[in-house]
Amino acid sequence: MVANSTINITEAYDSLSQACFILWPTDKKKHKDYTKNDGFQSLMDKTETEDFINQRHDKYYKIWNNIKTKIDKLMFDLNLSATNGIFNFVSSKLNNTDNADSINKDIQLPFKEIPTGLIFSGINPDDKRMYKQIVSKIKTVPTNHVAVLESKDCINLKNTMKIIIEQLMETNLNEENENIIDATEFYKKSKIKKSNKAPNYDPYILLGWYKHLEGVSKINNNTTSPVVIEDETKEKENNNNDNNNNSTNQSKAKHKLILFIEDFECFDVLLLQDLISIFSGYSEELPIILLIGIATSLETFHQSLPISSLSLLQIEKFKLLQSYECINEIIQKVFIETIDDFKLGVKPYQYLLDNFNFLNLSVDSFIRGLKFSVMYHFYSNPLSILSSIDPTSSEMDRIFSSLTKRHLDEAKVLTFPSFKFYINSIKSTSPKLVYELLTDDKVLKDSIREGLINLHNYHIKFRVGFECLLELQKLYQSPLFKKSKRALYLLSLQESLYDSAHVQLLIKRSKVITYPIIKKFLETIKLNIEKDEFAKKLLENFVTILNDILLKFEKFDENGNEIKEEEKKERIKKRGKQIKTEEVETKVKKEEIDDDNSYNDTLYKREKVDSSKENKLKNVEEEKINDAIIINENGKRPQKTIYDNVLLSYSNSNGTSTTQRETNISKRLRAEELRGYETMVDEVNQFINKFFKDTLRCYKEFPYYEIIYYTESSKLKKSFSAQPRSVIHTALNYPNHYLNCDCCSDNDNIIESSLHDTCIAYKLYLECGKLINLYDWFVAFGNILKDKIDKSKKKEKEQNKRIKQKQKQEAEEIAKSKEKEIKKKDDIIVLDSDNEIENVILINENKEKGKFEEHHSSDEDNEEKEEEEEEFNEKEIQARFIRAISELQYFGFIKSTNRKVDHVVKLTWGSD
Amino acid sequence: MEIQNEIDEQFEILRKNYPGRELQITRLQDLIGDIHQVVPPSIFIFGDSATGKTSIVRSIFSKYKENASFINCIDCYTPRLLFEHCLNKLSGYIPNPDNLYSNYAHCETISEFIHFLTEICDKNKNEDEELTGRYLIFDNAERLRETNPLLLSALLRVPEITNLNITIILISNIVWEKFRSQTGMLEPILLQFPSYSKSEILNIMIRDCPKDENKNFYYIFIELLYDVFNKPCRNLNELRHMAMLLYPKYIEPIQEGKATRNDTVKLFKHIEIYFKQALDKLYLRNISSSEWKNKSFEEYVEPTVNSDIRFELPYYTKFLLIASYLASYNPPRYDLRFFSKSSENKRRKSRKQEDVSGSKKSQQLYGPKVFPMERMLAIFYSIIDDPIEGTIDINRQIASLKTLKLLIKVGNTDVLNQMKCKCNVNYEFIQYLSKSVHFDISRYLYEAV
Repeated sequence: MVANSTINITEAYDSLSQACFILWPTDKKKHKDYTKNDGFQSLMDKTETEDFINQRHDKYYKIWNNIKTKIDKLMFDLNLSATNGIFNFVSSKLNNTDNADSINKDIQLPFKEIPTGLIFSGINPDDKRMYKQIVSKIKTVPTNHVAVLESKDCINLKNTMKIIIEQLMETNLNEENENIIDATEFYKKSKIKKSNKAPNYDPYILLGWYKHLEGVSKINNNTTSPVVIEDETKEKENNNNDNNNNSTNQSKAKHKLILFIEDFECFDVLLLQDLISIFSGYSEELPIILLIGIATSLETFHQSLPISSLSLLQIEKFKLLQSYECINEIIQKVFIETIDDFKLGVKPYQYLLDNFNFLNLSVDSFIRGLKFSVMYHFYSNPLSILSSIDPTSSEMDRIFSSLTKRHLDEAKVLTFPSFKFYINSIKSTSPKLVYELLTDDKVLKDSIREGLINLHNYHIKFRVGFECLLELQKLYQSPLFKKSKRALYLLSLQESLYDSAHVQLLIKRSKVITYPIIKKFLETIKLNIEKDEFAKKLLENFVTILNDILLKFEKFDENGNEIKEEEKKERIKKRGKQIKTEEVETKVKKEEIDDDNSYNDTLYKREKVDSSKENKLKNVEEEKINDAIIINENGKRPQKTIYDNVLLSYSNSNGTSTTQRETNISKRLRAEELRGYETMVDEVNQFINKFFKDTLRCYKEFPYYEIIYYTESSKLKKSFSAQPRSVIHTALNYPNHYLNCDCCSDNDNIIESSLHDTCIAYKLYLECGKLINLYDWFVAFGNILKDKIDKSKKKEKEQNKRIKQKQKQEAEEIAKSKEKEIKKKDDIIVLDSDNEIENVILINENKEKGKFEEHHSSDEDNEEKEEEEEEFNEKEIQARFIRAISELQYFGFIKSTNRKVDHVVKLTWGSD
Repeated sequence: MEIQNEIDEQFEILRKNYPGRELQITRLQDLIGDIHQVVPPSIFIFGDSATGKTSIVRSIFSKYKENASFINCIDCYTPRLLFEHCLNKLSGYIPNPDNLYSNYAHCETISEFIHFLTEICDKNKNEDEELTGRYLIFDNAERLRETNPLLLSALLRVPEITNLNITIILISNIVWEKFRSQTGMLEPILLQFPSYSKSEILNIMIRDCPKDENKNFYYIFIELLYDVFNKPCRNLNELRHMAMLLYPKYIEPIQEGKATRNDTVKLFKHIEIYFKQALDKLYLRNISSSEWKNKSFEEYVEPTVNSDIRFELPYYTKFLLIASYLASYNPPRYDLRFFSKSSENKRRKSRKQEDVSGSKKSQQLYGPKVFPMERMLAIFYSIIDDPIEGTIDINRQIASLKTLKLLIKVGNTDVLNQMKCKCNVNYEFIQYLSKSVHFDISRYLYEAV
């Protein structure tokens, strides 16, 4: 680039139609300075050393590459199933065309249908990436020849055919060229037949090529020509590959031609029709498979093609993953699952997400925005060197020890919102710490470190919590309770996710979930926690609680034999939970006193766990009696919510009391059970509450989060959501924003003459209707300019006057001084000759007067000149007006018209 | 002589294979059946699609070897391709890697073509002394009119100019009168392939009967099929396609043991639902044979209605499309009434809308009207609830709507001038869209549909 530009700079100016030039600095040394570290500059008033800049720069690359590889892999995996589906379609179609004939011989239509895969990609600007993936997958089988057609290349049939032929034959053409050089025979032939060479858009070329290809693969023994040998070896490879790939169709691997039409909507419909009918005509000789990418819907496809073309297609449909799912997965992978990595704050995240949801559904643009955020974070934040590493690692120690005082000062400023919040929160409890934080750098350093570790732990916990929340969401059928990952993450950034209405609702509803499901849910929570070692450590207390609950559950599961009884047992299990708490134990005591059967329990009273277990066992037996009754009355209702069951049993107990079937004991037990149930549900609920409260917090609660989170969205907005219209409008309406001058105000109502000509013309333009009379415009323009000119003239006059006055004054002063001098002289030479001197003065005075008169006369001359100038001004105004409106025309505001003489058309609707 | 025998045989076979076309085949045989006879200069074969024109002619000339060239004019979209393919076929020349994909000759004009044509014919004449006919067949001959207006007349005069025993056979869906616009046309012999009658169609379709199937049983099926489909569709190919798709479904109950071959009524009832489905999607080739097989019965009974039109758009883009729909179907003078936000206007609106609904000359029937972009944008900003800035993203979305052909640009290509568009979606789709964004479109439409 540099070399090119230095060769001939004048060349760069040649194309004046282009409005923008980039001239690289010619001085190579300077140039190096600019692009060193990709323009990462010294921050903190240039006190940052090179070392830190490099660190930031390197980190940026490291982090970004990290994220990028993650996303790429993710996208690849996500599209894998669709890709494989299409691949299978392509490979099955190869054989099907053979097999179908033999199997479905019942009906043979006079034409052959072209197998067609319609790929619905959604309006997804990123489909290129997926298409590439599909194509490369199809190409893994060497007998597949793929031609990718894009609408921009395919203007007419000739062109399209040429592209198809070139793409399909590409590899072979190269081979041929080698052969031509090798074998002189071919060379001669080519010379003779040159004129006969088929036009490069002749479908017969394809036909001949394909026949040759097939012929080569069939004749294995013929080794006369070098071409055959080469192709043969290739063919063998093909066969080998085929053997590896799919053992079913090794020997008969047929060459297939695949046409991939990427953007169906943009194609000329007539062209596609012709293409389809041409290839259906050749379908006997050429096994063509069409793949068509459709962004919209099947309906458009049906509308665009006529029956005659549609009937030639044998359609199968494929759906690519929609970008919503992609973005969900990306967010989970990049933001939730990674611990020590770059994070987005709420504002930029919201901006990117809004852009995605509202405007483009483009994963690629989301990724671009993300990249920009990463870049800007490291570019602008000197403390970014502290982010994206495990704060407990030794590397962190090194970085911490290298931090300068300046960094720490910056930390206070940069992390101001969270730091202030933190200071305020601890102000009352430990004022000493506050003082130290503000004064002692070492304390601050430690505090930052601690803050980072807290954040680190929070991320670990959040990951687990988020996963569990997703699990919890899965428990509900209704879409009301479902929110996508991206929306949930947005909530979590906005406020503590636990406090959000959505999560609160979920937790509340968890009381009504059927028993086995909630149990399973608790198990998955445990599993999730234990998956991660760090999380396990951090959430130890939750694990123990969970273990307790689950342990009891399991015990009762073992006891159960019948399905219906299991349900009851579950209830008992709940009781078991309740028993664990001391409060419950007292109940147990009561129970013991009441129950005749539970004498034994008194022995185990003091040993908490054992006794509770025993209790449960006992209770089981007792419950079994109850169960029998309930089952009898309830009939068969195996799967009900706990709540329902308990209510039922409760009402039943009332009912049974009337029928006198219940003993006192069972009555008491039932009441007990109900109470037990309530506490049990409460306990589970409490656990869920506590768990989510601890894990799903908001990042803003943590001090120093600004180090890790990128929180600014204005830069993103500026860079990615340009507002061309309003930018032009402000530039022309308020030029002082750009020119940094003080001469004009922001007042919309007055068109000040001090504005730039184009701006004046533009402001007048805003006042006009659809058609603008050029003369009126010119007059208005002239009036404003005249003010300006008049003013400047006045100024000039005033200046002139002032100058004149000054001259006058000076002259008078001079005269006076002269007089004085003369008087002095007089004093000296009084005696000499008074009369003579007086005469001299008179003469001088007269002379002065004469001069003044001369001045006056010259003023009159000026006025005459002014009239001349007026005419001259008229011309000047005209010139300036023409320049201004031609500039407006260049910007696209006006256009000449034939509708009315001397008028131009307004092309925009004025102000935004 | 060998060739001649084969040809005679072929005609016999054709007569058997194409019931209802005996007359035409005989006529063809009379005209061109003898390869060593003097042939007529030109024959024009016409008739509806799927009446056997192409397949009969093609199979006749498959036996003529290199004396005939069968050319599909859609393939040969330039005169050069047409000529060169003709020459290749007549000379038996095939482009392949060994001859570096060359054609018989480089031939771009009709005079060159005639030169090479005589060259080929002379060459072959030396070998066998008999008089042999040459046949140039052009399928989809209506395409010949498009490339060069004089090409067709020139081609028709080729036998005359070359003085060779050549016949030109044109096959087309269109009647000869439509070809006659140019001067210098020679009148060819006309040969019509009329549409098949019901019995003929059934006769042909019975040939598709699977080998292991009772012909009478199959005949009942195809007769039923014909009766159902005959109104919207008489295209033989389409009917055969339908028969192929539906027959497996028809015999399903028999295979499952639920019915016997004699339970015609039961079978009718069973197949009815599939017929209905197929009628809806006739011609669309919506469902390929494989998919048809895999679909369960329930999916036929309750098909997801809008599944064909559904696809995702970004939120604002949906509103852009709705706005352009409104701009296309609402008269501009009512814009103030619908889109101004003051309450006074709304009152007036509700009163007037009743008047409007009284006169139901539907706006919808006139199709979308052209609207300037600015008007659409103004409507867009008015119907969207949240205040948004006019960023480049909105413009980009308009552009992408244009590439998706949901908006169609109308009129001059002047870049500076205001862009004018039409909205290219139907009411059903816009309704689906507005539902998805909770927007009540009927409140803003000039005519509630």
